[in-house]
Amino acid sequence: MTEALLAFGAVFALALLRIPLAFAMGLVGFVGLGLLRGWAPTMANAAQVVYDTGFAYTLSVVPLFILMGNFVARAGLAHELFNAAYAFIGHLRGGLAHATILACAGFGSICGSSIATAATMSKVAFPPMKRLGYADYLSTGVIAAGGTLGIMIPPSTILVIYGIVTETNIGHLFAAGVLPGLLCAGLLMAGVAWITWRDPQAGPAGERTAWRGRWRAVRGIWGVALLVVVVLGGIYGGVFTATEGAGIGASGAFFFALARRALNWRVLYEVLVESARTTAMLFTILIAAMLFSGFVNFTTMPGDLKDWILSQGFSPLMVVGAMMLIYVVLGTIMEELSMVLLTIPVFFPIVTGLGFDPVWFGVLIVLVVQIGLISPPVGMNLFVLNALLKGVRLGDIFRGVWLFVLMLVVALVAVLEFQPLALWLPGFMR
Amino acid sequence: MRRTLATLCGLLAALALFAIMVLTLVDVGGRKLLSTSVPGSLELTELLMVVLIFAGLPLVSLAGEHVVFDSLDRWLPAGVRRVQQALVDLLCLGALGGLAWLMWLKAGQMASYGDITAQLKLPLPPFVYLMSVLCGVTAALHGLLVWRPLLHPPIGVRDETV
Repeated sequence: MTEALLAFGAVFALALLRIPLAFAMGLVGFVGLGLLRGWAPTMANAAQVVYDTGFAYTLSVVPLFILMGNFVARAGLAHELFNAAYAFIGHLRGGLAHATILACAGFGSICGSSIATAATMSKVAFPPMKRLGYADYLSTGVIAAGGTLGIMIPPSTILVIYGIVTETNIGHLFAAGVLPGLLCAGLLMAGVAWITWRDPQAGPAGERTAWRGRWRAVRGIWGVALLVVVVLGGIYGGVFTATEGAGIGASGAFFFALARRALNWRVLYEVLVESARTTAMLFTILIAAMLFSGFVNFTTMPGDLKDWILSQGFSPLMVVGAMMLIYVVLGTIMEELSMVLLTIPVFFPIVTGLGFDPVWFGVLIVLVVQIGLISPPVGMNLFVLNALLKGVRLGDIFRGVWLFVLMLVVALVAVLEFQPLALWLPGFMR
Repeated sequence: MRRTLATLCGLLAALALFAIMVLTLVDVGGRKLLSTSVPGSLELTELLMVVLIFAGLPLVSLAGEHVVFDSLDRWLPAGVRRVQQALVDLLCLGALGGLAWLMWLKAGQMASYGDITAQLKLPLPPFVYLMSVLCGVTAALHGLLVWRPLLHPPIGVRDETV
């Protein structure tokens, strides 16, 4: 127990010294295991972990989904999604903000990254909101929060990585993300309605679009719809595995971008290298997390903690609730994926030991990551918007996002209390 | 030198990723529609994944895209920051150098008993040597960054983890 606690402390200390989290986790795991087991087996083990993670067919799901999202982002489909949403609800008070959330949800069904969704939407949705006189705090808050739909609505990088490290079925996880994703979208729209009710100047209504224009706008998004139906439908229906679906999706997105003349050799190269970099960065964290959890699993901590919690007779829901509280608090300052990977070796056995479904816990993890991504002072989505939108002060971004953080906390409590929200849809899969 | 390296690794990673995509498409398409699959497509994907991940590694370090906790940055004077960054790069150099060495040993072991893939009988050790070399290259890059800190990408790292 003590040695594991020391190790967690060491990772945090090294991270505070600005050592990349992957290196901090990997080194502490390596040294810890070396001290416990001796150096020769530890060295052999480290080489084996790196080898196994590199030569892993199922892990190709990660770069392929990243690639799919990047192709679609370059194809400019986000514009069509936004236009279609605007055509239907742009004339309402706060209509552009509502349309942003719907477009984020649509984009999230092809893109598995919250940051990529927020970054893409900032280019598409911010300029029209600015033109119509939207308050900066509302437009940035809604883009930052809407971006997080990217990781809840499948495909989702976080769910894929959670599925890999906990050996949970990725197809089931994806199905589980659908309803909570829609719930989040609904709650965020409720947040927009609240803000524009209190401060009508913040989000004036746009022009009404005639029905003819609406249908034209809908026709603009058939490509996205088709891609989503084929990829996710194929995975849900058991036609292909998540890995195969990701390959089909990336290929489809590639042909789509090609057909829209969004690709030349240069852009293609950029998209591929960008996806490769993201992949390599994720795999360093993944490998480091495996080394670290290899050490933690060798200590008595996961077992001790689990036995202690089970013997105390806490209500199981209270235990998971406490974990979520820890995540939300830690998430305000820590990078979310590393936080999750660092804690899973300890939390996961407790959760399954209490008899909970790992799929449900995966959805909860995504929700806390969503919250962490937009909660000040350290929320990645907020920083990305701050970097991309030069004219907006970080203070305004922080001010606008609080209500949406609250909305996602409501979603977290809802999924915590009402498990079928996550587990009903995967129940139909075999 | 740095640019050549970036282009070389970029091309390698880009080709590997594109090949994985095409391979999956052809394999799945062939299996579902024509009921023939690409022989050994699983193994090929695995080999290509290794190329993709490890050729991407130097690019991540070059772009300064590793996830770091940088919230303390604004309270540290520039001089301290520079020393701190040099120490961090030294540590990365050590860690990646050590990993390169471990993988080199593993590759040697595998070569000694002639390890090959199950279906296509492709030799595995060259790919493990490649892992080792690319880890070594990345380690050397961090060494270069200690030597010439100005090459560091601007602080305020953008990552796209999630």
